[in-house]
Amino acid sequence: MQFSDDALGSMDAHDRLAVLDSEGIDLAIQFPQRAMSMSGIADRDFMFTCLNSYNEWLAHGVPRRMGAHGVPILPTVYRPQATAEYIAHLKALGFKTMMLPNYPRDVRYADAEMEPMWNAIEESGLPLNFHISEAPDDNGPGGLGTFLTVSMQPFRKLWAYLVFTGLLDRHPGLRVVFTEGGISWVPSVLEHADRVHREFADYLEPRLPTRQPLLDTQCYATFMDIRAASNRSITSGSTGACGRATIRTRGHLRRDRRRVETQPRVAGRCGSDSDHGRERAACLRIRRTMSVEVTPIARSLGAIVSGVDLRER
Amino acid sequence: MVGSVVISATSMSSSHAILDDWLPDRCHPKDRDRAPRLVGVGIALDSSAHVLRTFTLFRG
Repeated sequence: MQFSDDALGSMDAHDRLAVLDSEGIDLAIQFPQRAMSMSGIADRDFMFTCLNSYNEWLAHGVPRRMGAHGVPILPTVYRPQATAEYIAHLKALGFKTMMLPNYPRDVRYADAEMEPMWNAIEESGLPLNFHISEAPDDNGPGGLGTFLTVSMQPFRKLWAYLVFTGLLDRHPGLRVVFTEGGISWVPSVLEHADRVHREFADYLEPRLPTRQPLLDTQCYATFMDIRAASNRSITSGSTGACGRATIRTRGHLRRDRRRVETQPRVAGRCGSDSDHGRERAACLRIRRTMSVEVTPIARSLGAIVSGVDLRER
Repeated sequence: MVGSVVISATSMSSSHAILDDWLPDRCHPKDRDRAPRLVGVGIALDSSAHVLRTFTLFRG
C-alpha cells in the first residue's frame, strides 16, 4: 500500500502539470479535498480566514492551468449576510463557480436566516458545487471499502433536502452540481422522490408545485464511468464509457430514450491517481421533471462547473 | 471546437504548499500556532490532537 500523497503531482503543482501533460489533459478543475475539512474549524472567524486563504491560494498560488478553473469554498455559511460581498471577491479573483460543505455544523440550509446566502448565490449566476466526503470515518478492517462504497451514494439526502424544503423552488436561478458521486443514485432518488411527491402530497410541508414539469432543471451530477450507472435505469451503449450512452427512464417515470454522445476528447479521468485508468468524465443533468438527460462535458463540466465554455477555447 | 480540450476534475495538489506555507503566512501571528496542519495523511484542526482523516490511500 502506498499513500497517494507520494504519487507524482499529488503534493506539488508543478509536478502535477507534468502529470497532466503525460496524460494529455489540458485543464484541471481543482477541487479542495483536504481544504474543505477546514470548514469544520470551531472558531468561525478563524474558519473564514482559513477558507479565504485557501481561495486566494487557489487564485494566486496555483498555475493558471489548474487554479483558474478551481473551485473555491464559499466561507459564509455562518455569515450569510456577507455572501454577496464575498462572491464579488471570488469573481474578482477570477472564479466561475464555488462550493459549500454538504452538512455544516449547526446550520440548516433551508432556514430563513440562510436566505441571504441563497439569494446571493442565485443572483451571482455562478453554479454551486457539492462534493462527496473525502474523510473516512474508520480505517479499521473493512473501513476503507465501506467508506468508498457509501461515498458513491452520498447525495440522496442532500438533494431531497434541497427539493422538499422548497429551497430550489424559492431560488429557480440556482444551479447545483453534485460532484464525484457518480450518477447511479439519480434514477432511484428521482423515482422515490416522485413517489413521495405523488403519494404524500397532502402531508408535505412546504407543499411543492403540482404543475408539470414539476420543477425546472437546476441540478447536475458528474460521473466517471457510465457503467456505474447501468443498474436498471441507465445503460451504457455499445461503444463504451466514453462513447454513446442510452439513458432510459423506467417505471412511472417518463418513458423515453435519449441517445447521447459524450465527446471522446472532451473528457478526462477524475482524480490524480493513475489507477483510475482512462475513464471518461461526463455530466448528467438531473431533470426534476423526473427524467434525465446527459449533456456533453463541454457544456457540463466546462460551462456549468467552471463556468468556462471550453468550446470557445 | 468541441472535442479538442481534455479536462480533468482533480484535487489534492499542493497540499503542503497551502497548509505548510501559504496559510500560516496569512494567519495573524497569534493564530499561527493553531493553523490547520498536516499530520501524516490527515489534517489537524484548531490545534486539536484529533486528526481528521483524509482520503489518501491507494494501492501503489
